[in-house]
Amino acid sequence: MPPNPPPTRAPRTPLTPAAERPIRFEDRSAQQVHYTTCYMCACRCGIQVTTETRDGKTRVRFIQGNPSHPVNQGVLCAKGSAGIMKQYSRALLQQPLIRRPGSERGDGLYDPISWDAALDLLTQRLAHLRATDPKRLAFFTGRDQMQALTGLWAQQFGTPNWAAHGGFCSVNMAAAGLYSIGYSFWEFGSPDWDRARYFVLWGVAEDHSSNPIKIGLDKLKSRGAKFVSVNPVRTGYSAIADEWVPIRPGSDGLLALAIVHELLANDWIDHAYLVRYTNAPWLVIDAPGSADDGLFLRGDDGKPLVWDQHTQSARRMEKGVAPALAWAGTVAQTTQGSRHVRSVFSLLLERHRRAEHTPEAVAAQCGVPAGQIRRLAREMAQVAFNETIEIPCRWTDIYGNVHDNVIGRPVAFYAMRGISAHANGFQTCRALHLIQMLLGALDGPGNFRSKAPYPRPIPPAQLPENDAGSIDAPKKPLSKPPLGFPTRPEDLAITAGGEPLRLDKAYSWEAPLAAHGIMHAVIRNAVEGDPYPIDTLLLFMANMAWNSAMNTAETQQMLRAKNDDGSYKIPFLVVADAFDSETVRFADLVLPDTTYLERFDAISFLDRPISEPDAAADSIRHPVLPLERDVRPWQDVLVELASRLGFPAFVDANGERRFSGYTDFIVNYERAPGIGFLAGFRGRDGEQSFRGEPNPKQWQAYIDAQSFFAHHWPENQRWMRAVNRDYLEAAADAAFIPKAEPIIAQIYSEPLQKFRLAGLGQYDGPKPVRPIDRERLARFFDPLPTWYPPAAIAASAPDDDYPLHAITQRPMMMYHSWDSQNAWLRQIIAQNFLYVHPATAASLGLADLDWVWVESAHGRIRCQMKTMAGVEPHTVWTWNAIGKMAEAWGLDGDAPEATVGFLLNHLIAESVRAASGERLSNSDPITGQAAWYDLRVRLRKADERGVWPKLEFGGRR
Amino acid sequence: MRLGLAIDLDTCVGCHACAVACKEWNGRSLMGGAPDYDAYGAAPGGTWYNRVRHYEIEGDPTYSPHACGALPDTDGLQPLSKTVNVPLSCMHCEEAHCVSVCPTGASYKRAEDGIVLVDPARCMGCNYCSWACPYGARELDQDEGVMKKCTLCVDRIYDERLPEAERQPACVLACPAHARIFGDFDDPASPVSQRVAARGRQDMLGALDYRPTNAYLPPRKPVEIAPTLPLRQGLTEQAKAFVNRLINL
Amino acid sequence: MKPALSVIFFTVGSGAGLGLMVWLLIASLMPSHIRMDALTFYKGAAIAAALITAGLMSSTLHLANRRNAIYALTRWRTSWLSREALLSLALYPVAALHLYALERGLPQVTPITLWLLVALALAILFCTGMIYGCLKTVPRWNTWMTPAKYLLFGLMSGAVLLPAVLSLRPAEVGPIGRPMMAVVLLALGAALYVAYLMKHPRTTHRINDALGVRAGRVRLLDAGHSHATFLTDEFGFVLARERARVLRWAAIAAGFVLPLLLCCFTQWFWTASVLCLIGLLVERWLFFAEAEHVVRLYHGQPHV
Ligand SMILES: Nc1nc2c(c(=O)[nH]1)N[C@H]1C(S)=C(S)[C@@H](COP(=O)(O)OP(=O)(O)OC[C@H]3O[C@@H](n4cnc5c(=O)[nH]c(N)nc54)[C@H](O)[C@@H]3O)O[C@H]1N2
Ligand SMILES: Nc1nc2c(c(=O)[nH]1)N[C@H]1C(S)=C(S)[C@@H](COP(=O)(O)OP(=O)(O)OC[C@H]3O[C@@H](n4cnc5c(=O)[nH]c(N)nc54)[C@H](O)[C@@H]3O)O[C@H]1N2
Ligand code: SF4
Ligand code: SF4
Ligand code: SF4
Ligand code: SF4
Ligand code: SF4
Ligand SMILES: [Mo]
Repeated sequence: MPPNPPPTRAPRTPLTPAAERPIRFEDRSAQQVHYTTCYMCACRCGIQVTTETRDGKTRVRFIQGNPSHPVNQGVLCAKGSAGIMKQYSRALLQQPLIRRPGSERGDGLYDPISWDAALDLLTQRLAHLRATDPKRLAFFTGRDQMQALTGLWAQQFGTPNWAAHGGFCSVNMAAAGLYSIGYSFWEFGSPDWDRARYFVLWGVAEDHSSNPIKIGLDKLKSRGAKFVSVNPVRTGYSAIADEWVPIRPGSDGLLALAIVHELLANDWIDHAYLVRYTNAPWLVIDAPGSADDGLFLRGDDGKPLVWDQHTQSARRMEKGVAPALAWAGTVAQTTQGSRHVRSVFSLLLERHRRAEHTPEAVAAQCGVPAGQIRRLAREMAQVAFNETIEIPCRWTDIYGNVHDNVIGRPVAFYAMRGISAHANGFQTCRALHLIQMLLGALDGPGNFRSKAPYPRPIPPAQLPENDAGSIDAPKKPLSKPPLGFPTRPEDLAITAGGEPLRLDKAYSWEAPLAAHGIMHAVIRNAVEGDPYPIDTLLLFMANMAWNSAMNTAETQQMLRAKNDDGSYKIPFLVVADAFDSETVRFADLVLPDTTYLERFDAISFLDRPISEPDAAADSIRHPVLPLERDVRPWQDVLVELASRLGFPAFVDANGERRFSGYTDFIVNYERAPGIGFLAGFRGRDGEQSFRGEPNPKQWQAYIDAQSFFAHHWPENQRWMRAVNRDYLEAAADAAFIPKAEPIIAQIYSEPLQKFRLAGLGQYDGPKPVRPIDRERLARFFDPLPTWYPPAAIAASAPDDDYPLHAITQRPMMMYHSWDSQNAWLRQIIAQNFLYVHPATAASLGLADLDWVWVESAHGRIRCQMKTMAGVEPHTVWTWNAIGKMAEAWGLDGDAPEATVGFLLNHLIAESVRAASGERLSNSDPITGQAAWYDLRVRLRKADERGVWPKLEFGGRR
Repeated sequence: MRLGLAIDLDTCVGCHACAVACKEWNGRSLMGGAPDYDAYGAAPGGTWYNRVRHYEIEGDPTYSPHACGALPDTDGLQPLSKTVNVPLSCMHCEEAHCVSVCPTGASYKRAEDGIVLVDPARCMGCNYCSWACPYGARELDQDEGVMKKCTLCVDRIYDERLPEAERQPACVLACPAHARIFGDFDDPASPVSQRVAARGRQDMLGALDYRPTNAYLPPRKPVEIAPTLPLRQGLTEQAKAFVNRLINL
Repeated sequence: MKPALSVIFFTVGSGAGLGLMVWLLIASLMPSHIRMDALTFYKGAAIAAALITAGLMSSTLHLANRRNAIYALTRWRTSWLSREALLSLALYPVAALHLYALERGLPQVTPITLWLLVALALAILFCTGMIYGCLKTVPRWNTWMTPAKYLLFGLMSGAVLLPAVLSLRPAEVGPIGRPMMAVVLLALGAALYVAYLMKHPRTTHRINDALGVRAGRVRLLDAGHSHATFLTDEFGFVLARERARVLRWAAIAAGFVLPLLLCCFTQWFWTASVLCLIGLLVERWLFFAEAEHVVRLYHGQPHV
């Protein structure tokens, strides 16, 4: 591009001396500056909040990024800046509310109730449930970051029916990572932005790591690294990618496995990495039909064995052993007798010799030409092996070898919901991790690095509660937390008869690895009493009557559904929210929360802390504004209820409450001696980190430290942490992991094979009885990463009837439904459109701004469309959660969000019917992850205008 | 001195952070004021000094250098399209016609640093300057009846009570992709001048000869990797031969 | 561009007023050709003044902050709008002086004030035209034809008004002949208008130019706001092509052809005047409605 033409003449614009018009600077005389943590989304950036006190009123003047904060390093996103308008939103709830007698759920008619009365009411109800059948309380939470507290609360109450939003969000990413590499995309790892030379972003529009990705992309691009975005849509991050790969939704697994094929076929793999740090050389029993088929060959101590090339014998992974990567043969004299075995790697080679994984075979299905697939694989290998980074750094591996440098294969991946929100997302994500393992591109310089407290054992050593006795015991805490990571069928939360123990059916045969619960199944299951009815549904911070519901309109009907005697099918619905959301209007009791500028919060290592690869970090929020409404921090309410209900962890031996409130609880509660919610400034004097006695001045210490604590890892603990002895020891000290043991990446997943064996009827333990479960386990629980069409899950209509994929993306400047009331953000977007490729539109006779009917096998909506070139032609998409219900969120009844904005969720069924008739949730069969993006639709021009269905409160429809 | 912004179209992800940070800082600042209209109603609007727009460029092979990406392939599988996000605020033009046309002298350009400002104490709200601006940088504040525009955060960059690092425009501090840089285009050593020297600048409506001070750095040519790794191709039994190396634990 | 009625009325009204004033003054110099008694002159002057003043007052209606309007007199060195304002205000004292001199019979003053008034009127018309003509951002306006149109149409409508005013004089003064000046100017005006219409639309700037992108086809994906903004209100006005065509013919017919015919063949000068003004109002409305500001490129219009 040419620079501006050289000036041919002096500008004619008159100039004014600056002194003639003095600048008026900000009057800071009445201002105060506070450091706290943003919560306009879950990224949790550090913010510097300037408040102004005038005439006795304190208001926010502006919010800036905190430059010393590890997450955002001073920058601030659009939502962060708009925090002011959230604070002054019309939608803020003002006081506790109770549904007006005589009105119906969804009418939105409420009377104020005092906190005392509200809490008495709730305590009474909950005490009764706890004393009779605790599982009849279901407590589900949305986008909070306090699952350590809510989970503890549920466990203490004694209900297994607790989970947070992870099940409809990102459990596929979390689980695939935690069952494969010990950390994961989605919060537990981060690309090495400073060193990566090749970066592939799979299906990400925004992510939780919102600001860090943007900071990182700039770093990559300024260094001249290549950035590839695999995404059906070219907006946002994809806009600036060097290469855009417009893939067909749901087919990334095919692309990834074809890349795997190329890497294997060309021997573009990191042999040393695979041999030392993955289970590639582990020996797998090859005994078709028997109970241990496909399980690892193990030594006397239960440790897996490899074939040692020195001694030509099966040995444990120990120093001195030289494992064969590809080996098959018979191993005599084991505890398991003489067995025919094959190494994991040889299984992999065999799998990928099949023609179905060649680029040519997948090109048409995933919409990526074979030549491009080959080139991508070759580029990755080129960068991994020819642009290797070596950083001088003395570190010791778990075998005791001391290394003088650390080798980085600078190919970094990051992936999120484009992968996650498909019914094959778990396996697809595993395929991505497989590429990383083959390239040796994990937790080294330039690739995908872990963040404390990860990596953890694979999977993390935490089993979900599955003891029916403990669940049914009144007035007793559960023996284990409700959520965890099953490793075998015995760990499932099912009755002896195989029925789900949990309301959401997590950890049942339907979704054995549902590590985050299955929140999108809760309302339907509760209403159908399948597996059992409940009494009270407690929703915190989740808009389950709207954008986190699939099949939204019917979900609302379900919330209104009544028994023959006129009682509600879900007898009591309590909603804890800070704003007047759609769901709030369905509640029987509304408990109003504070905003993020008005309360204390701990963003804890027991939960999802704010660590970055080089630093373990956690943070807090503290009130920077006086509380001027009759609302209470939900955490305080939880501590209050826990104390009133006499949860053992919250009362002393005499039944007296132990904690005066949330802040007291955070300081003094110890999960294990010396381990509490906040890791910084522990010990009486505040000088200990991670482990130490409670520090009564801990909150103040955080506040003085700009609301965060960061421990910077010494150089020798920064890399290869899964197998880095010094790191693992430090992590065990900090209680991140139980013991300093190696964490060997799992190409081949034995837990999956155990479930598969159960499906095949070969497992020596619990086995499913329903044919549908057997079929699903046998088919999808492949111990090696695999791909299956998402349509394999749903008994969905044929592709020809619904030829288009329909997906959503997050707009960078809005957070789900919760930012919709923001006066500034809605000036940017208050109406969403359905974006269609021009050729697709033309073939359907559609043009810009046409109103269209969008039909899925489940239902139809009417919305307005626009064409765009940067979209895969078989895909249509829109922004998530712009459409609103009229009058919700403090918006006027005729707000465009309700009259022309729309929600795609109406088209997505929350349940699907198997061919054999069983109702299954619309989820990944392995993890229960909600399959939002498997939606298939067709379009036709609408004669009418305006959004349809237009849901309104007051039972009108 | 010629102060202005360099905006990098290669890294701008179109996140609107700059636009909202601008509204936040200026919304109630003494030099600014950017009200909202119908904030919760049917036509949400307001005054903004900076708006982020999004465009698509179709059919320019520069942005899809590879054969399979450069042309829509036979199946029409690969749309050839590049998305560019373009934040637009006042360019602080050298030939600021918006200043010359203003009848009241409210619209003025500072001699020392070239910043174009509106003096609300003189502005009569005739909108004429906004007509003279090709870039849509001026919006009327309907509450005050006064024209508003980007001030280049003149009340930040010269505020000596701010720490040095914060004497930057609000949008620059906020931009998560560091796609906005502030500096003096007259100083060849300044980061803005250096970037323009290295990357060039988009010639936006150059024919009108307003000579914007702000510079839009064009999207970079996509990075290409030239693989030298030999191709072996073939997943056969012999694979094992090269697979099993002697690697000691 | 948004066709603001206040501005349309202002430019047409004061244009006609100024034109009428010019022709009244010139007529007053030619008593042998144009017979006019003093009362008629004053009536005409009053009509001109009313038109000018109403126009000027209306022009302030679109100011969002009238309190500061006084400053509009300060930037005459660079701003056509300031020049216009200043000259318009100057008109009043000069006109007062002229009337005073007429009243007092000061023959050494009246020619000066008279020609000064004529010059002022022409200058004001030119300035008004240049307010629009100088904007490079509105290619359709950025031509010599814009000030020419303002000048010509002002003088033209004034010339049509003159015989109408003359028709107010007492009958004994005698019949009015064919108003040649009106006829000539209407013909010229029609020619200029047609030429102006023919010159445009012509693509002067493309959306690619707006972004500085040379290759490829640029299209807007999203303007960054889903509802109206100041810019879309001010510059986003879109006129349906069919409607524009009808209005153009209406402007030509009412503004030029019919008055011309009436002036040639009838004595219905008031009808001619009213028609001419209506035609010019339509023409002026179209002048705004059809003009496209380059900022529309940023809102996705392929060319302006
Ligand atoms: N079609 C489609 N649907 C989707 C998705 C998709 O991609 N496409 N994404 C899914 C995903 S991943 C997720 S995570 C869900 C998110 O869906 P939800 O978890 O339902 O998120 P929000 O809609 O933002 O609702 C969060 C609620 O929290 C409330 N809130 C905000 N701040 C506070 C606070 O400080 N205290 C309290 N008590 N409440 C507060 C808000 O008012 C709001 O009611 O949506 C899912 N739905
Ligand atoms: N601003 C903002 N930030 C947010 C949120 C928000 O609402 N607003 N929500 C937060 C939450 S809860 C979550 S879970 C994260 C999610 O953050 P993201 O993972 O970025 O979620 P999405 O916006 O759903 O983006 C999914 C992307 O995948 C693409 N995609 C869809 N299907 C496929 C596919 O089959 N393959 C590939 N390769 N791509 C596909 C879509 O086009 C889209 O670009 O964001 C968090 N951050
Ligand atoms: S990404 Fe934005 S909204 Fe989210 S925490 Fe950070 S600044 Fe706040
Ligand atoms: S961008 Fe517009 S407002 Fe800014 S100086 Fe240039 S012409 Fe004036
Ligand atoms: S709106 Fe104000 S700044 Fe703009 S031209 Fe009119 S008086 Fe000048
Ligand atoms: S420099 Fe300041 S006023 Fe200008 S766009 Fe940036 S934040 Fe807004
Ligand atoms: S903040 Fe930066 S990345 Fe975001 S839109 Fe503005 S310039 Fe672009
Ligand atoms: Mo999510």
